[in-house]
Amino acid sequence: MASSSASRASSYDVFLSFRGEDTRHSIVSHLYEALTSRGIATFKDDKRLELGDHISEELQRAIEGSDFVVVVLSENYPTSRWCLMELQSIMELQMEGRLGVFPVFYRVEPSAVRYQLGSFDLEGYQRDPQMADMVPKWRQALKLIADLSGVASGQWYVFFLAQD
Amino acid sequence: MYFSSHKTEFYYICIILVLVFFFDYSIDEATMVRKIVEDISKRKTLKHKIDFRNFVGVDTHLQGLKSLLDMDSNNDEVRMIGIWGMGGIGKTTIAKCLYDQLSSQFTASYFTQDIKGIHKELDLLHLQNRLLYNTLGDDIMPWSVEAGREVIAARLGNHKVLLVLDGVDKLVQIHALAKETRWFGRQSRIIITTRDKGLLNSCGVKTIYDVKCLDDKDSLQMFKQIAFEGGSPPSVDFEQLSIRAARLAHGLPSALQAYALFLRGRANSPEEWEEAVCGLESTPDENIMEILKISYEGLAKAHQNAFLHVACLFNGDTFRRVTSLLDVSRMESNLWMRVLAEKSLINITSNGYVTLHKLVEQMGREIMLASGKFIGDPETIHDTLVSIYLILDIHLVILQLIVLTAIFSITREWDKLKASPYTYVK
Repeated sequence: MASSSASRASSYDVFLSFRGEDTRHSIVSHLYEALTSRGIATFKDDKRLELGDHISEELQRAIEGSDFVVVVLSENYPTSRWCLMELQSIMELQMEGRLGVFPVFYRVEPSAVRYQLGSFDLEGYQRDPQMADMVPKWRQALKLIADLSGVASGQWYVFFLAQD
Repeated sequence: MYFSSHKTEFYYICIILVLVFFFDYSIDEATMVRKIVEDISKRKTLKHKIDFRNFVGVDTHLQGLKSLLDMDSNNDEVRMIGIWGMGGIGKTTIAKCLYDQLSSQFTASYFTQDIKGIHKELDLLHLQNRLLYNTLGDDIMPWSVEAGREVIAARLGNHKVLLVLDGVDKLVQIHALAKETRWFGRQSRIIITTRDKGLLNSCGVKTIYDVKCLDDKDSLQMFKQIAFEGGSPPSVDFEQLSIRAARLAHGLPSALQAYALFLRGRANSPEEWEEAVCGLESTPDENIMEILKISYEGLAKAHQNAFLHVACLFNGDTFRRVTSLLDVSRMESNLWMRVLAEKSLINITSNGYVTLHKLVEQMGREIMLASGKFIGDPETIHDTLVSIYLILDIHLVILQLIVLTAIFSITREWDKLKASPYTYVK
């Protein structure tokens, strides 16, 4: 009786999107622990295959099959184009209302993401002819996720080290 | 020795420093992780709580409502729509289903639980507090309803809000939470479920979705889905009894559900079922009567009386006849009938008949019986009263005849009187 979107079989409750080198051993492992111990089925991609121009089909399926995505935005997140491709596809699904997105600004300023400053400056990709045409979409995705921090029902998080 | 003790102190200090250092931010991170997990599990329970497979026809309702809500439009306007229908027809269920499917497309959303009967200032403040808390996470307690309105307008003006006000029966409730559409950000949607169409009209809600009863086919399907595992009766006997039981609900989903759940536990023998169905036929389900009575109890005294008259006497009569027989001026009785129709107690058909849902009629008669104004079986009361009214109708004709005859004879007498002025003098 329910409509197609409600009856969609979700294989995961939560998909974790993160940059391994920044966060794998800190926040992401804690989050994963806490989520799974609560009985929340969580997808964490540990051995990402960073090949080709697209994220793997398996990853895409896992995103589409999840109800929520926690995006941990860290300093080196945008230095991986696979992270950016992942984010692009996450934000597209979010716009369609098929995913709930929880952005975590892990030791980065939301404004740096919104205005694409510092490591979030995508100029480097712009110079690469293979990726130049994807950059506008990534910019759009970064802006969208930063905008979630301006609105939303308190469901975004900023974390800094105490001495920062 | 001295040196080594110094060394130990140094180590202690180091350990403490390291502890403080780690402790300090690991708490922060731990708190954040805990908060994320809590938020996700809260959102997750909201998402998976609802299973409406048993409510037949909900898809059709949702389609209709989604087209009224016009979710895909790029228009920035804020829309307010009403879901209107009698008690027990499934307004809340439909609204919950709608909220479940749509809330992820909004930046802030809130579904008030049933707010029927809430009107005191303190309770309204609490409602405002809940709205702010559930949309923004801010625990603000306004000091007055007016101040609360300002806060809501100021804080939710930047959000695309989905707000459902469920079970509204007083204007103050809407005025406290969503008096004006401009309080809310672009493309917000406000949904009000109510039994009272007049309320929607008076706060300017023009888009109204009218929830109708289920037809016989859907009623039976819904009944069977709830009453039997897998939705099909074990034998032909049960099929027949299902038809009888489903008919008793007259297309009212909540009654169907109550009856089906009542009979579900008795699926051992058809005989036992038959007894139970007979029981339902003679005494309607009490909970359903209570649900329906709420509408009656919210009426003004005069309207209550009018309703009882209609329920006991005029179900199925023409609008003209009903209004002419009520004991007030035609204009006033017209108005009363409109009020009863707005409160979804009666239905005025397009071809000019006044009809009541069978269960509402039953509820009216029960109230009449309980009031002790009449003693006896409602059917006989109905018949007697109808005959009284018929007699009255005839009497009117006779009365007119008598009056006419009287006038006629008086004129004749008058002539006689004129002829002999002393006739009547003693």
